[in-house]
Amino acid sequence: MDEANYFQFSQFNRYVSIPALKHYFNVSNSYVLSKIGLVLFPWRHKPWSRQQARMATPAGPNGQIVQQQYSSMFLPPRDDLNSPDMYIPVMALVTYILLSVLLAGFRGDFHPELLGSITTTAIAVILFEIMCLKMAMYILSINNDSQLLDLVAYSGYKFVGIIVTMVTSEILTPGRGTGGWVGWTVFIYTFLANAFFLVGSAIHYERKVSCTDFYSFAH
Amino acid sequence: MKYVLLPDSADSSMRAGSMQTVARGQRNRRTQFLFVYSYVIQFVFMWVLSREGPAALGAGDS
Repeated sequence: MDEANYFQFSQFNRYVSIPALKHYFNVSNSYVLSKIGLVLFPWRHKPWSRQQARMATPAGPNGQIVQQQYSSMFLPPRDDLNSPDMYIPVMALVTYILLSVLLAGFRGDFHPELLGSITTTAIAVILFEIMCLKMAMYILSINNDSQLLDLVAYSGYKFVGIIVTMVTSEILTPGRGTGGWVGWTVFIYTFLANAFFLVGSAIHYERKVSCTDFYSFAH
Repeated sequence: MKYVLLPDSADSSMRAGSMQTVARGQRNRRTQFLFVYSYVIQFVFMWVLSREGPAALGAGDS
Protein backbone atom coordinates (compact mmCIF):
# COMPACT_ATOMS: atom_id res chain seq x y z
CA MET A 1 0.00 0.00 0.00
CA ASP A 2 2.84 2.36 0.93
CA GLU A 3 4.63 1.47 -2.27
CA ALA A 4 1.52 2.27 -4.28
CA ASN A 5 1.19 5.65 -2.57
CA TYR A 6 4.86 6.35 -3.13
CA PHE A 7 4.52 5.42 -6.79
CA GLN A 8 1.53 7.73 -7.24
CA PHE A 9 3.33 10.55 -5.44
CA SER A 10 6.47 10.10 -7.53
CA GLN A 11 4.42 10.08 -10.74
CA PHE A 12 2.64 13.28 -9.64
CA ASN A 13 5.94 14.85 -8.68
CA ARG A 14 7.26 14.18 -12.20
CA TYR A 15 4.81 16.65 -13.68
CA VAL A 16 4.24 19.12 -10.86
CA SER A 17 6.95 20.43 -8.59
CA ILE A 18 5.67 20.26 -5.03
CA PRO A 19 7.97 23.04 -3.71
CA ALA A 20 6.88 25.28 -6.58
CA LEU A 21 3.27 24.48 -5.80
CA LYS A 22 3.79 25.34 -2.12
CA HIS A 23 5.13 28.72 -3.19
CA TYR A 24 1.81 29.51 -4.87
CA PHE A 25 -0.20 28.60 -1.78
CA ASN A 26 1.95 30.62 0.64
CA VAL A 27 -0.68 33.26 1.28
CA SER A 28 -2.06 35.17 4.24
CA ASN A 29 -5.49 36.55 5.05
CA SER A 30 -4.44 40.12 4.34
CA TYR A 31 -2.93 39.09 1.02
CA VAL A 32 -6.11 37.31 -0.08
CA LEU A 33 -8.29 40.31 0.78
CA SER A 34 -5.90 42.75 -0.87
CA LYS A 35 -5.56 40.58 -3.98
CA ILE A 36 -9.31 40.23 -4.42
CA GLY A 37 -9.56 44.01 -4.08
CA LEU A 38 -6.81 44.39 -6.64
CA VAL A 39 -8.51 42.07 -9.13
CA LEU A 40 -11.78 43.98 -8.78
CA PHE A 41 -10.33 47.50 -8.52
CA PRO A 42 -6.99 47.54 -10.34
CA TRP A 43 -7.35 51.05 -11.76
CA ARG A 44 -5.08 52.99 -9.42
CA HIS A 45 -2.73 50.25 -8.32
CA LYS A 46 1.01 50.67 -8.67
CA PRO A 47 3.69 49.46 -8.88
CA TRP A 48 2.97 46.23 -10.73
CA SER A 49 6.46 44.78 -10.61
CA ARG A 50 7.14 41.70 -8.54
CA GLN A 51 9.53 41.95 -5.63
CA GLN A 52 12.60 39.83 -5.31
CA ALA A 53 14.77 38.74 -2.44
CA ARG A 54 18.50 38.28 -2.74
CA MET A 55 19.87 35.13 -1.25
CA ALA A 56 23.52 34.26 -0.76
CA THR A 57 24.44 30.74 -1.69
CA PRO A 58 27.45 29.82 0.42
CA ALA A 59 29.05 27.29 -1.86
CA GLY A 60 32.69 26.58 -2.18
CA PRO A 61 35.13 23.71 -2.47
CA ASN A 62 36.61 22.38 0.77
CA GLY A 63 34.49 24.76 2.74
CA GLN A 64 36.15 27.87 1.39
CA ILE A 65 34.20 30.64 -0.15
CA VAL A 66 35.97 31.37 -3.37
CA GLN A 67 33.12 33.05 -5.12
CA GLN A 68 29.93 34.06 -3.44
CA GLN A 69 26.90 33.90 -5.62
CA TYR A 70 23.89 36.03 -4.91
CA SER A 71 20.81 34.59 -6.49
CA SER A 72 17.39 36.07 -6.14
CA MET A 73 13.96 34.61 -6.17
CA PHE A 74 10.52 36.10 -6.32
CA LEU A 75 8.88 36.66 -2.97
CA PRO A 76 5.91 34.43 -2.16
CA PRO A 77 2.40 35.86 -2.46
CA ARG A 78 2.29 36.38 1.31
CA ASP A 79 4.99 39.04 0.98
CA ASP A 80 4.25 40.42 -2.47
CA LEU A 81 0.81 41.52 -3.62
CA ASN A 82 1.87 41.34 -7.28
CA SER A 83 2.91 37.71 -7.07
CA PRO A 84 0.47 35.25 -8.67
CA ASP A 85 -1.00 32.68 -6.36
CA MET A 86 -3.04 29.52 -6.76
CA TYR A 87 -5.14 29.86 -3.62
CA ILE A 88 -7.55 32.48 -4.95
CA PRO A 89 -8.07 30.79 -8.35
CA VAL A 90 -8.73 27.39 -6.75
CA MET A 91 -11.08 28.81 -4.13
CA ALA A 92 -12.81 30.93 -6.77
CA LEU A 93 -13.28 27.89 -9.02
CA VAL A 94 -14.82 25.86 -6.21
CA THR A 95 -16.99 28.81 -5.16
CA TYR A 96 -18.14 29.30 -8.76
CA ILE A 97 -19.22 25.65 -9.03
CA LEU A 98 -21.02 25.64 -5.68
CA LEU A 99 -22.61 29.03 -6.33
CA SER A 100 -23.99 27.92 -9.68
CA VAL A 101 -25.51 24.84 -8.08
CA LEU A 102 -26.82 26.90 -5.16
CA LEU A 103 -28.59 29.32 -7.48
CA ALA A 104 -30.11 26.36 -9.27
CA GLY A 105 -31.33 25.09 -5.92
CA PHE A 106 -32.94 28.45 -5.13
CA ARG A 107 -34.98 28.10 -8.28
CA GLY A 108 -35.87 24.51 -7.64
CA ASP A 109 -33.91 23.27 -10.62
CA PHE A 110 -31.16 21.45 -8.78
CA HIS A 111 -30.11 18.06 -10.00
CA PRO A 112 -26.81 16.33 -9.23
CA GLU A 113 -25.68 16.33 -12.84
CA LEU A 114 -25.25 20.10 -12.59
CA LEU A 115 -22.15 19.63 -10.44
CA GLY A 116 -20.49 17.52 -13.12
CA SER A 117 -21.50 19.65 -16.08
CA ILE A 118 -20.45 22.98 -14.54
CA THR A 119 -17.18 21.55 -13.24
CA THR A 120 -16.42 20.00 -16.62
CA THR A 121 -17.12 23.24 -18.45
CA ALA A 122 -15.01 25.34 -16.06
CA ILE A 123 -12.02 23.00 -16.20
CA ALA A 124 -12.37 22.64 -19.98
CA VAL A 125 -12.29 26.42 -20.36
CA ILE A 126 -9.13 26.65 -18.26
CA LEU A 127 -7.43 23.84 -20.18
CA PHE A 128 -8.42 25.32 -23.52
CA GLU A 129 -7.14 28.72 -22.44
CA ILE A 130 -3.81 27.24 -21.34
CA MET A 131 -3.56 25.38 -24.66
CA CYS A 132 -4.20 28.61 -26.58
CA LEU A 133 -1.57 30.40 -24.51
CA LYS A 134 1.01 27.67 -24.97
CA MET A 135 0.33 27.59 -28.70
CA ALA A 136 0.68 31.36 -28.93
CA MET A 137 3.89 31.22 -26.90
CA TYR A 138 5.23 28.63 -29.34
CA ILE A 139 4.27 30.74 -32.36
CA LEU A 140 5.78 33.86 -30.79
CA SER A 141 8.95 31.98 -29.86
CA ILE A 142 8.53 32.53 -26.16
CA ASN A 143 10.67 29.89 -24.55
CA ASN A 144 9.60 29.91 -20.94
CA ASP A 145 8.47 26.46 -19.95
CA SER A 146 8.76 27.00 -16.22
CA GLN A 147 5.84 29.40 -15.95
CA LEU A 148 2.93 27.02 -16.50
CA LEU A 149 1.67 27.52 -12.96
CA ASP A 150 1.77 31.28 -13.50
CA LEU A 151 -0.49 30.85 -16.52
CA VAL A 152 -2.90 28.69 -14.54
CA ALA A 153 -2.94 31.24 -11.72
CA TYR A 154 -3.58 34.23 -13.98
CA SER A 155 -6.29 32.40 -15.92
CA GLY A 156 -8.07 31.57 -12.66
CA TYR A 157 -8.53 35.15 -11.47
CA LYS A 158 -11.42 35.59 -13.89
CA PHE A 159 -13.62 33.49 -11.59
CA VAL A 160 -13.57 36.30 -9.02
CA GLY A 161 -15.28 38.65 -11.46
CA ILE A 162 -17.70 35.93 -12.58
CA ILE A 163 -18.72 35.23 -8.99
CA VAL A 164 -19.31 38.95 -8.36
CA THR A 165 -21.40 39.14 -11.53
CA MET A 166 -23.54 36.14 -10.58
CA VAL A 167 -24.09 37.25 -6.97
CA THR A 168 -24.87 40.87 -7.86
CA SER A 169 -27.28 40.02 -10.64
CA GLU A 170 -29.02 37.43 -8.47
CA ILE A 171 -29.45 39.93 -5.64
CA LEU A 172 -30.59 42.89 -7.74
CA THR A 173 -32.59 41.01 -10.36
CA PRO A 174 -33.51 37.67 -8.78
CA GLY A 175 -34.52 34.95 -11.14
CA ARG A 176 -33.22 36.66 -14.26
CA GLY A 177 -29.71 35.30 -14.11
CA THR A 178 -26.86 37.28 -15.64
CA GLY A 179 -28.76 38.15 -18.82
CA GLY A 180 -30.42 41.33 -17.54
CA TRP A 181 -29.03 44.82 -17.75
CA VAL A 182 -27.63 44.55 -14.22
CA GLY A 183 -25.85 41.34 -15.11
CA TRP A 184 -24.42 42.82 -18.28
CA THR A 185 -23.31 46.01 -16.52
CA VAL A 186 -21.53 44.17 -13.72
CA PHE A 187 -20.11 41.69 -16.23
CA ILE A 188 -18.65 44.46 -18.38
CA TYR A 189 -17.10 46.10 -15.33
CA THR A 190 -15.57 42.90 -13.95
CA PHE A 191 -14.33 41.92 -17.40
CA LEU A 192 -12.63 45.30 -17.87
CA ALA A 193 -11.14 45.11 -14.37
CA ASN A 194 -9.79 41.62 -15.03
CA ALA A 195 -8.36 42.65 -18.41
CA PHE A 196 -6.75 45.76 -16.89
CA PHE A 197 -5.32 43.59 -14.12
CA LEU A 198 -3.78 41.18 -16.64
CA VAL A 199 -2.36 43.93 -18.83
CA GLY A 200 -1.12 45.85 -15.81
CA SER A 201 0.68 42.77 -14.54
CA ALA A 202 2.33 42.40 -17.92
CA ILE A 203 3.12 45.84 -19.21
CA HIS A 204 4.35 47.79 -16.23
CA TYR A 205 7.76 46.54 -15.47
CA GLU A 206 10.96 47.93 -14.13
CA ARG A 207 14.49 47.06 -14.87
CA LYS A 208 15.91 48.19 -11.63
CA VAL A 209 16.64 44.97 -9.82
CA SER A 210 19.69 43.01 -10.71
CA CYS A 211 19.04 39.48 -9.63
CA THR A 212 22.23 37.59 -9.98
CA ASP A 213 25.49 39.17 -9.13
CA PHE A 214 28.85 37.61 -8.54
CA TYR A 215 31.24 38.94 -6.02
CA SER A 216 34.71 37.55 -5.83
CA PHE A 217 36.39 37.20 -2.52
CA ALA A 218 40.11 36.54 -2.45
CA HIS A 219 40.77 34.00 0.23
CA MET B 1 1.96 37.97 -16.87
CA LYS B 2 4.97 39.93 -18.05
CA TYR B 3 7.26 37.27 -16.71
CA VAL B 4 5.42 34.76 -18.87
CA LEU B 5 4.57 36.56 -22.09
CA LEU B 6 7.41 39.07 -22.12
CA PRO B 7 10.08 36.98 -20.47
CA ASP B 8 13.07 38.47 -22.19
CA SER B 9 12.56 41.90 -20.71
CA ALA B 10 12.11 40.34 -17.32
CA ASP B 11 15.00 37.98 -17.76
CA SER B 12 17.26 40.79 -18.86
CA SER B 13 17.17 42.03 -15.32
CA MET B 14 17.39 38.49 -14.04
CA ARG B 15 20.73 37.65 -15.55
CA ALA B 16 23.51 40.14 -15.29
CA GLY B 17 25.90 39.81 -18.13
CA SER B 18 23.42 38.08 -20.39
CA MET B 19 21.27 40.94 -21.55
CA GLN B 20 18.95 39.45 -24.10
CA THR B 21 17.04 41.74 -26.35
CA VAL B 22 14.08 41.00 -28.52
CA ALA B 23 13.55 42.50 -31.91
CA ARG B 24 11.13 45.39 -31.88
CA GLY B 25 8.75 43.63 -34.28
CA GLN B 26 8.74 40.51 -32.16
CA ARG B 27 8.10 42.54 -29.05
CA ASN B 28 5.24 44.40 -30.73
CA ARG B 29 3.65 41.10 -31.73
CA ARG B 30 3.93 39.82 -28.18
CA THR B 31 2.37 43.00 -26.82
CA GLN B 32 -0.47 42.77 -29.36
CA PHE B 33 -1.07 39.18 -28.36
CA LEU B 34 -1.12 40.24 -24.71
CA PHE B 35 -3.89 42.75 -25.42
CA VAL B 36 -5.84 40.24 -27.52
CA TYR B 37 -5.53 37.67 -24.76
CA SER B 38 -6.50 40.09 -22.01
CA TYR B 39 -9.44 41.75 -23.75
CA VAL B 40 -10.78 39.41 -26.45
CA ILE B 41 -10.08 35.90 -25.20
CA GLN B 42 -10.87 36.77 -21.61
CA PHE B 43 -14.17 38.34 -22.71
CA VAL B 44 -15.21 35.18 -24.53
CA PHE B 45 -14.26 32.84 -21.69
CA MET B 46 -15.81 35.02 -18.98
CA TRP B 47 -19.00 35.31 -21.03
CA VAL B 48 -19.17 31.53 -21.49
CA LEU B 49 -18.58 30.86 -17.80
CA SER B 50 -20.95 33.52 -16.51
CA ARG B 51 -23.69 32.12 -18.80
CA GLU B 52 -22.89 28.52 -17.93
CA GLY B 53 -24.87 28.75 -14.68
CA PRO B 54 -28.06 30.10 -16.29
CA ALA B 55 -27.62 27.79 -19.30
CA ALA B 56 -27.34 24.80 -17.01
CA LEU B 57 -30.45 25.98 -15.18
CA GLY B 58 -32.32 26.14 -18.45
CA ALA B 59 -31.17 22.64 -19.32
CA GLY B 60 -32.49 21.47 -15.99
CA ASP B 61 -35.99 22.61 -16.91
CA SER B 62 -36.24 20.31 -19.88
